[in-house]
Amino acid sequence: MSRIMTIWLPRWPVQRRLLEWPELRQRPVFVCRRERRGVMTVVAWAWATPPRKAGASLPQPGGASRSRISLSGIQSGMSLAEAMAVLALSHGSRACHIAEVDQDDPAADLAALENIARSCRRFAPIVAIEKPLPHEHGGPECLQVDVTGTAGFFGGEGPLVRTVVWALAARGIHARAAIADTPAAAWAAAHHTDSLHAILPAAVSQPWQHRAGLRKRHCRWAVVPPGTHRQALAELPATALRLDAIVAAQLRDVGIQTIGGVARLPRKSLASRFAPQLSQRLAEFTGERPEPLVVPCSGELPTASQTFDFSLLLRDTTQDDLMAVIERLLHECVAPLAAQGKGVMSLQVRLERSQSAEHREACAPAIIDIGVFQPSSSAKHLAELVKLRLARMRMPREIEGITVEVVSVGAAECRQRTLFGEAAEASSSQVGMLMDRLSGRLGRGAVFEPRPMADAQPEHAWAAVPPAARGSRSSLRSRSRSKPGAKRSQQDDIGENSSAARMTASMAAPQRRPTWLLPRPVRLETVSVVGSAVDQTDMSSGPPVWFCIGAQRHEVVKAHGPERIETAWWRGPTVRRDYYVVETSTGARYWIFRRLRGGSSSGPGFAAASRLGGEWFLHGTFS
Amino acid sequence: MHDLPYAELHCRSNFSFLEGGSHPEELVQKAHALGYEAIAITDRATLAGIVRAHGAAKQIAASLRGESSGQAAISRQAGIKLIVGAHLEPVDAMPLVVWATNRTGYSHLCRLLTRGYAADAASAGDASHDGGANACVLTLDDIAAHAEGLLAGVPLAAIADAGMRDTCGQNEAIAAVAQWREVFGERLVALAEVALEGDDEERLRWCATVGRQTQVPLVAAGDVRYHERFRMPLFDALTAVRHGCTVEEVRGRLLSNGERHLHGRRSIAERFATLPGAIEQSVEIARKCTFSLAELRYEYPDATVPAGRTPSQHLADLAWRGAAKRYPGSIPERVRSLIEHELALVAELGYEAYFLTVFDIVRFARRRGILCQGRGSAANSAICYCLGITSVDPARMDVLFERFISRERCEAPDIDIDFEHDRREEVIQYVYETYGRSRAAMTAEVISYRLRSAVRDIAKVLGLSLDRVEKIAGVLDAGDGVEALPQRLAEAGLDPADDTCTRLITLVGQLVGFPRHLGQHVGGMVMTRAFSGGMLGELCDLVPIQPAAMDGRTVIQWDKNDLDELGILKVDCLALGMLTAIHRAFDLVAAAGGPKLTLATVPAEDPAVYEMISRADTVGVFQIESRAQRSMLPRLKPACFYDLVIEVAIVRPGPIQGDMVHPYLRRRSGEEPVTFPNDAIRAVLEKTLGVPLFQEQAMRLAVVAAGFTPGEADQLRRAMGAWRRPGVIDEFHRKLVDGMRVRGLSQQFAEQVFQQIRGFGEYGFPESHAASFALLVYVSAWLKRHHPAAFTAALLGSQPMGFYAPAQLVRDAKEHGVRVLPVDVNASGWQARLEGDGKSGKRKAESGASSRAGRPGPAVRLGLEQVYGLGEAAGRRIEAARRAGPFRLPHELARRAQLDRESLLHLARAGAFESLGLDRRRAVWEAMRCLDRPECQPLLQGIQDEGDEDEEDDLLLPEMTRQEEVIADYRTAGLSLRSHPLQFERDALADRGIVTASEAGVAPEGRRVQVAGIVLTRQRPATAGGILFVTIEDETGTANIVVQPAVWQAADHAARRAAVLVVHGRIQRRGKVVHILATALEPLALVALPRMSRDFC
Repeated sequence: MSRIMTIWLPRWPVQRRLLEWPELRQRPVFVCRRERRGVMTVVAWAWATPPRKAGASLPQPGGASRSRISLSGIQSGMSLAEAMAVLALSHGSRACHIAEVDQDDPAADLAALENIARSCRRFAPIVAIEKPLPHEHGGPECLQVDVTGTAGFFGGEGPLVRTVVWALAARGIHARAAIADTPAAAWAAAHHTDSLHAILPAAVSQPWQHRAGLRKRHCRWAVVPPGTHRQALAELPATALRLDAIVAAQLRDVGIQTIGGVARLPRKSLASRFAPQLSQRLAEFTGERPEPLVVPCSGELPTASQTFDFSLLLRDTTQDDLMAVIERLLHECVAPLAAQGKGVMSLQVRLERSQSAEHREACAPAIIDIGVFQPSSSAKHLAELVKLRLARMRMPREIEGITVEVVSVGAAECRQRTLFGEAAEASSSQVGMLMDRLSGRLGRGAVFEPRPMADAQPEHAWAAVPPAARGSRSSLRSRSRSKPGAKRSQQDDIGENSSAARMTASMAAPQRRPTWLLPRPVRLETVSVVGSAVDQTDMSSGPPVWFCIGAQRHEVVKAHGPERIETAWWRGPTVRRDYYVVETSTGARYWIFRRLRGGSSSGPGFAAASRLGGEWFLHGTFS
Repeated sequence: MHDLPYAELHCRSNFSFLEGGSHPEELVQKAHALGYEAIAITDRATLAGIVRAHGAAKQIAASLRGESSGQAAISRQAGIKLIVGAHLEPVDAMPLVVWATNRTGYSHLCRLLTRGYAADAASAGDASHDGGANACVLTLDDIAAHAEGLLAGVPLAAIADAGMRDTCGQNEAIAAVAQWREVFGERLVALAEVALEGDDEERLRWCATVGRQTQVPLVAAGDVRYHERFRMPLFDALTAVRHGCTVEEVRGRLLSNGERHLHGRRSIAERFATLPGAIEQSVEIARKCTFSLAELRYEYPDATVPAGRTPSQHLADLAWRGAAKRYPGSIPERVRSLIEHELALVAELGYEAYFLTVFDIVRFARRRGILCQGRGSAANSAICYCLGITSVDPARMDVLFERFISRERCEAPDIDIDFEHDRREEVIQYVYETYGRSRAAMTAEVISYRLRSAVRDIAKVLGLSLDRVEKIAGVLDAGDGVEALPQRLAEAGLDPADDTCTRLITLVGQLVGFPRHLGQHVGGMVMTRAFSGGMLGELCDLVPIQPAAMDGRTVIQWDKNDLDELGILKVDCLALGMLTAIHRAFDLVAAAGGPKLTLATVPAEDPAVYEMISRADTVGVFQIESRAQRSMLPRLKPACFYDLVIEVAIVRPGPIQGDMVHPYLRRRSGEEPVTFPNDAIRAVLEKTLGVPLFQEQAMRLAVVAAGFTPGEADQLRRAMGAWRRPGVIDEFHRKLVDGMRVRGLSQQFAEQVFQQIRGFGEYGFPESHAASFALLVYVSAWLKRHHPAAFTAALLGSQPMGFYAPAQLVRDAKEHGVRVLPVDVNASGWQARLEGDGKSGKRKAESGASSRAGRPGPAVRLGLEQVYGLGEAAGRRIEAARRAGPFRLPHELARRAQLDRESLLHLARAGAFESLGLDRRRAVWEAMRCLDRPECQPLLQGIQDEGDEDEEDDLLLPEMTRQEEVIADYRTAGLSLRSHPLQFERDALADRGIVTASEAGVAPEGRRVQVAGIVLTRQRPATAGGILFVTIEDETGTANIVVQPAVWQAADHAARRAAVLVVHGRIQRRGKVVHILATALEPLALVALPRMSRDFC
């Protein structure tokens, strides 16, 4: 007889974000998936601390009860617009204003869940993550722990589930847990801990609950005594068997609502009438069919570690010694990958700290995360990056071991090795290494590459782009979370394509713009224009005769233009300029523009930058 | 450097969908204001905007004439010349702009475009095409074949932009121009276009080189996309819409400045200073293009005329023959003179062929047994009555032929014919067959941006997230104008003062009204001459034709208004669901052994029918079943056919806005004396008790009281119409009031008449039209009164139609004692039918009260079409398979009718197996078993036909409660014969103080009540000032709710969309009519019902 504990972390995608960015607790958070045709559907949502007086602003009698109904009315799978409507209904449109909408990131959710799973190994050695159903909407939210025979260490199963829930709660994680004979039964029980209390008062209710004054409907754990789950859970809804929506609808059609109802149906007919999932899940529930726990295999990616027999006092150790160990470990990790034609994309070096009694609370390892721009299979290169980081980090006093764990890999570029080592790597990989080194030294946020952008406004015609954005480096990007204000940062595919088109177009006339622009256009105080009568309708005036930069007076001998720009109305005031290339008597060439008067016809929302206009600016020089 | 004469030759309007930012009218007006000599509208592969531009040019000319006659001081040039052209982008050559120089050239252009669209349809087949938006696919050879009469210009900028301005590119450009030069020879020019892009001089120099080398003259042009600079943001936004991304994303493809507008002539002169002669050349070209749309002569379709007769004689023959048939005794003198008058006028205006064509279509429909009836102004014509096109007897009605055809208004008459809804396609295909696809096509309907579509597109390109966009679109009400947008944005949780929102509001304001695509008019068909000696005469010589989204249909590029402007005739073949229902009811009555009825043989003036109508017992009756009509009926108490005509016409925006309803009711009930200022007015208004209710009366009033000619009166009506132009109204106002004062009528009376006429506009009914409809009202009411079962079955078979959903029709039938039987696989046909009492019902047909007298009449068996999700083909297969005997088991049904699992499950869920002793759940259970069993597969049928049941008889599925059953009924069929869903909640509702609809119906005036019910309809009539009328239903009946705009605004989203609503309100009584004036609305989530209301707002 085995005993399985299911730990359910409801709305995990939202919980994970709240853990990472606690400030979001004040706001409604929606994690959404972009479906086909661009519709956003809600994967998970929560509002950790909604305002107290939600119902007070509602004009209707019975508003308070309605707001509760409405809020629970937001379900996963709903379109975001619909969910927002429900939210606005219950909490006013302000709630929608402050709502945080985030794209879902199943990989990051899973990774974080795996971390939780790892931390739960203290309760039992086998901690698995539930297998997602093929058609299920969200990712996994449950851990399955084999607690057969381990509950005794915690004072019994009741104290064990309680400890789990409270331990997680202490970390800010809302969890529900239940123990039963089979994984499926535990899953069902964990998802219905509230209603189980009504069903199983004697078996589950424990004295401490009454002590804690917990109300029953908030109960977050349950223990289904051995051998009783078929009866004890019979009244739970059939969906607690974890069924596809289709199967659930089929059951509804014939009026079967509970697990017991399903169990009473003739077995033979289950197979012939329903999708095979139903009989399979039922068998797993009863235990007739084993449901293997899938332990996340961390062994898939190489790990290497070394434990020291005695704690290593770092002040006694030179960095070179430390690096020698790390490099060896790195080599151990990289070698098997290189054989498969893969390279490391990111890895983690953990300096495991000693767990001596006086430092119990500070036992978290010191961690170095390394990410590279191109999959690397060079241990030397990776070691160099680690070394750069090591130099900048605060070291623990003493360590007990070093672990190197490869976090993600990518296909390494295959190239013929030369006879004499790695000296002659191709230039592209050297650029990659340069960037790795630069960002290792300066920090990842400090390295950019310029990229031409398609935009009529010269200062927007190029952009500093993080070099990582070149490939598909989702694992890296997921860490630099876009701030609420910059929700739409990742949609630039089209822009990038057309930038290429624009590039070729502007190549055709390379002489028209200088390569370097001034950081900001510089106002030219004194400018003389011939025949300053400005054409009212067309705003043009012609190039200047002379102008001053500082005290230096420049006589214009040749002018070319104007190149008129009217653009950017969608991001702010309309930018309206006439650019001229002017050649002065000294032979220097400047790029200057005149800010145009805002046409009165611009209409509201399209105000020109200045009502006055007519000023001249220097924007660049031709070298 | 002064204002040289100039003509803009390259100019796209917003009919080059998403490639132009101004209406054609705006372009023409602006070009005129700038003093251009001519402007060419060269939309991309379409002539759809040409007529509007033509209209604008015509108007300018007219106003100039008016000015110059009045004050000679103002001496402008004589208007502006419109050049018809198109921008073509052939697949295998450089783009080209062409202009029509003469009628031949125009005709070639039309044919060319027609060919391009047809080629696209042919190449695409039906595969990749998901809608009407097809392209014009042309090749160099196509253009070469249609080059006669056209001038062409190569826009060199298009080539220069493609980065071809180096030597190698120059050679290519020269080759491209040379290619076109081979086609057009001397008639080719090159368009030099610059837009302050910094290298204008080089561009012009480059153009000059290309021109010199190819020996093609250079012409100045602007590649204009909008009339004024301020449209640049809108144009940018449209570009983004075209590319399906946001402005930010598409910014690299935007034009970098706003120079593509119509420029002043001086700045054009400056711009082309280095290219001498280019501007003069533009005027030269414009002068060569002498074609004007005014030259178009519509060629009437040839009618089949017997040898030796002229069309005119033939029409006269047919008319007199028809008259003899219509009036078996002798033709009344009045009618005789009417016919003579009309024939003379028709002959004078040359409309015989048109009448004969319509007659031919109607004759075809009659032959096929398709019910049809003319409506609208055509019913003013005695000829139409005699030809059988309309059914309103001119002997009984006062007809005004001028409303139909008038000499003053050189405008085509307009005959609208209603056909049975589901058989209209036969008629349309007949027209295509008879006249050929090159001579007949549907009228286009220009689908314009409305608020919601504009907001959607603009918000998307401004980068609002899709869910936001949907949210905003969701809170927009259909009646909202642009001015409501800020408030709606606030409701959607946006700040209207925010930059993005300001931009949104501005751009949406500009975009609303822009054409979006060409759709197909509901029924308008244009036909032209069947055979003609010359080439001119086919429809595609007149206007380009393109394939429609619907298979087998072709559409011309002009809409109804364009056709009116050019005086082209069309026939509207409309579809009317009620004709289908009436036809079906006639068939059902006959099949049940009753009399064989036709529209003409339904007994006239049956008092029992009027009695029923006066009780407002008119659910399902044509036209008078709406809530507004039903609240009018008890007050009006129609007692004869003409009362029905009034009833149909009175509940219309026109009479309501003109404040004619209440005076009429007061006078009818004798509360107010009926007086007439003079006898002439008495003659006009006597039959409507001194209140003008019909358009004809308003027009006649203008004639007899203010001395208008009939033609002027019609102009007056039009001027007041939907397209109000401020100046025109005042002119008529003065004329009308002065005319009346001169004739001794009081100022007050004159003003009142003016207000009434104004109210009509386009929203009033002509009497002729009301009369046509009243006939159908009477027939449907007669059927409801005497054959309620057949009537109900027929209505159910013609859904969706009218105001009420099947649930209400069934409920109403049951209240009239009709037995309604549920859907059953062993009894139901695809459509509802009559059952039982077949033979005996025959004799009782005339004693219509049979059902109410307690004797069972025939019962209505609901059809399989009620079952949600079941396809018609599957339903028909069940019907056919049952002929071999009843079904005993679901899987037997599945096998015999070859149903798939889903259809079987839909039937099971709808409870269609009850006659087999299977309740819903058991049936679903059984149906599920069939899924994968061999007997369901046709190949293996018969192997395990019987027996071999699983040992499942002990299976106990939980029984459904009655409430579950009812809700399942609603979910699967939209109605329940068992009970009302709210009945089960009554106790809970009563606890909340909610009363039933019937209790509310007897509550005293002013009492505060709460009622709950399923929302049946939501209606927001245009005349009601934003008031919403909601009808809700509970188990005791319906309640009429009046919702003030403020209450509606205060109600939240869920309440607005709720399937079941709790209304807090106050009772309001007016006569027998009871309303509840809502003070608050609240959704009721107790009952899990799908939303089933019919919304007309």
